[in-house]
Amino acid sequence: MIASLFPRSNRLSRLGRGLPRLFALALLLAGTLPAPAAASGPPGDVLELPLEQLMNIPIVSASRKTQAIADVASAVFVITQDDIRHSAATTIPELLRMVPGVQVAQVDGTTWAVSIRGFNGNYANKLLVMIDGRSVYTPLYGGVFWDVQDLLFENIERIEVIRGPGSTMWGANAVNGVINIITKSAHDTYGTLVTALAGDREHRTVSARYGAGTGNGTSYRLYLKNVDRGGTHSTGPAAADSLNLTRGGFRVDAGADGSLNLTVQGDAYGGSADHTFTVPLFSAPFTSNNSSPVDLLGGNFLSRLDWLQSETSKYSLQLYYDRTGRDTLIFNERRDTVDLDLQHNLRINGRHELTWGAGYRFLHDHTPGSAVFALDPTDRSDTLINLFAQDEITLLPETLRLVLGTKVEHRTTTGWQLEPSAKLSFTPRKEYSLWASVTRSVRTPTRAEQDVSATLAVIPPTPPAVRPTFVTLSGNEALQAESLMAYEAGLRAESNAGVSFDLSTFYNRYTDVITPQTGTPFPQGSHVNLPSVFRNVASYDSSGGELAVNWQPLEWWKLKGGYSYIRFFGTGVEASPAVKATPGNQATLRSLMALGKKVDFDLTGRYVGENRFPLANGTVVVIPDYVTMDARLAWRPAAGWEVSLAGRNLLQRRHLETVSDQTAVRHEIERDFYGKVSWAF
Amino acid sequence: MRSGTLGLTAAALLFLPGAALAGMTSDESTLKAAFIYNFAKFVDWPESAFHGKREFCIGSIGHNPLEKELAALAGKTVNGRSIVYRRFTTPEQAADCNVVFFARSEQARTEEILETLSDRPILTVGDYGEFCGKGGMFALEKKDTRLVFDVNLAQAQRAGLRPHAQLLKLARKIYGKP
Repeated sequence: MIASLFPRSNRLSRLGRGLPRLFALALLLAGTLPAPAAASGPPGDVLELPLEQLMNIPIVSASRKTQAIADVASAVFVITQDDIRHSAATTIPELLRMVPGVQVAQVDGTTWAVSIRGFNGNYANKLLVMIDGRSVYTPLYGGVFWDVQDLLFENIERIEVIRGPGSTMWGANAVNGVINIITKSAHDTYGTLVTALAGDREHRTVSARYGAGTGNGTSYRLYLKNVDRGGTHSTGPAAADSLNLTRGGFRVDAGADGSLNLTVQGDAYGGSADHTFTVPLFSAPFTSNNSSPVDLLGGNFLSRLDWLQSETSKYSLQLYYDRTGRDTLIFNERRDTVDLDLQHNLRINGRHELTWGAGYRFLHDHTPGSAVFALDPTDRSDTLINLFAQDEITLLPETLRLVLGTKVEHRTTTGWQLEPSAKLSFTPRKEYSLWASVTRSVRTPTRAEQDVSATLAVIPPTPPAVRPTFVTLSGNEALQAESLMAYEAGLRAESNAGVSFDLSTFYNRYTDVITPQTGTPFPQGSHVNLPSVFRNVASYDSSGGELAVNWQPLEWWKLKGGYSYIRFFGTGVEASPAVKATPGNQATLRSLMALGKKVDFDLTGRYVGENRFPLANGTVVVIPDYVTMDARLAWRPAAGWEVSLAGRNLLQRRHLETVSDQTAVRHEIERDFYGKVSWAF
Repeated sequence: MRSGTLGLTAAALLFLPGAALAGMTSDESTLKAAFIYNFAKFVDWPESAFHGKREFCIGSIGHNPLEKELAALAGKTVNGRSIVYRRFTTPEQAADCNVVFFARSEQARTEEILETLSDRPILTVGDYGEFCGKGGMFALEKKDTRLVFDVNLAQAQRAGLRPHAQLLKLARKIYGKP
């Protein structure tokens, strides 16, 4: 029965048969071990304890945020508000550069290539990115339009980055990792905050926020932000890549101390971003580079109800609506998403923490194309249904934990998919912890992979031939989901000398990877057609590891370092999407200094190794390695005021980070400077 | 063969002393209130803090999730004075209180509020780690599943408060050590 759900992989069915046995063992163990002694008594008892003992009492967090990523047995990195404040970044992708295992390359002023553990590029498609539990990758191609994913940085509570599949809990597209941006509760942002930022490339960013409480346990905030950012240096033909975007939003949190908490939030944005499209022409000169503004308009509305039924049982119900509008030179996309999620978290006899849930997502898009890019049909609706259950079993209190779970996901075109995982974490002492996991994850075909009909290039005729060759790409309705089996292990340790490190390693096996497969050319009217079709044909393996080290040598000085290593295996892997924009080695080193109470001085250095970018036309572009540095100096002259100066990419005038499949124009990222003033009152 | 190995593992696990580690647990708010109560108890207060008052005021500013727990301290004593809990909306209202708890909602306004309270014998506690760096005296922070705290000794001394050595010994970090 289980084997039949995995029709094409013996390895998977072996795992499938093993899981119930593991489950049975875990339940047996959990049942036979004595339950922990009486949990929390009346508050009075705790108050009478001396501080020494209070410091050893574990907190049973009854209000664990539903959107928090479990840190039990995964490679997790958290970007804190402190990290954000000390960074010179002005965009979300720049912030992600500090996370080991994440590949970030800036294509131009408005386009980014961001992935985790490989398969990068401007069309990277194996990542789940969420803002407050709302999925923001586009089902159009499975990637993220980073130009519209912005926030008031001061509103961010933290960014959780999980490397490796997060599919059991998070499902759709969480193959290579999950990036979860969590904003602060409205309870935490009272008062007024005004910021203004300007520099050579950062023409102007202004923002304002106001937050307050109504006195009966309800808090709210409003914000507005406008960004006007200049472009980067284009080598070859001039190409515009500047951005002007305005966004605003609100958040209301009600009932923080009760058992019922309600969050209602919404954002809307509008503006334009310049993008360059290299478009094939059907007659000489056969290609043209067109820079044009892409019109952006979107919004979302989310509400979440958390109900603490008792100390051991918690429900969460979330509903959101998201609208995305994107008008480009080659297509116009209007997408509506409605998503409903229910989650129940239940603790049983202190040994099991059971989480189960169900989700429903309805997607509709209207995407008229152009002569070179079309989706057939123009309008399409899709429905995704998922069910998941996970049990976190404490085999030895605070020492040995086993997490077993699976997600079952249904989509009309690809049917049911099973995404199970087994994770074990061992914490022999508070300072050390070891973990290992096995996960199966799938990525269902994107809208483009199913429905596209595009002309990628026109090859001019080589005399004596007279007909040009059209390189075309077609979608495939018969595509199956591609899958990943990930084997991971890690180690975390903390020494009393203020040093902590976190090492993660992985071995990934990707099968049925959706790849364009080139057919045989055939004459068609006045041209020759060289067709390619998306098929589940490729298999690749990858392995690697990441290390994050924190060291605080002095009370006022913190050092944070990261290193990532990855390599790929498989036939033709060197010219495949697997290695795309993914350096084998990369490293970061941050130095955060508090020079007295009023001055901060922060430096961030990064090394990005040589990497390859196999273009759609078969050419492999080699991107040279680079080292560069950002710096930031901040001064707080009076309560609530901060003035800062920042410089980015300081070590050279400009450098190339990556190329693109969307345009033949190459952009180099220049050294730039900006100043920022913020006033909170 | 495989199930044999599993059986062995199971047997090994069964004989490990699992119950020995089990102990008391608490919810976050109760624990934080207990910490605040302890800070108040283990500080030497100058007489000027009381002006002959019979009560010991613990107040909060901002959106306070510990309201119930701090109110439950009523009846207990610090320095022979019984505790009362008060809620403030402006820093000026807090100027006559003994302990002022800064809720997370006040993060952006920390320095401004501290300025209003400065040079008075008021013990300040912040519900966020950066509080001490901004000139607050005690910062609470959750680290994994435990609660830890930092102390800004210089600020406490400037206000005429003397934290006991045992309090300093337990702090994760001490700012402004002499």
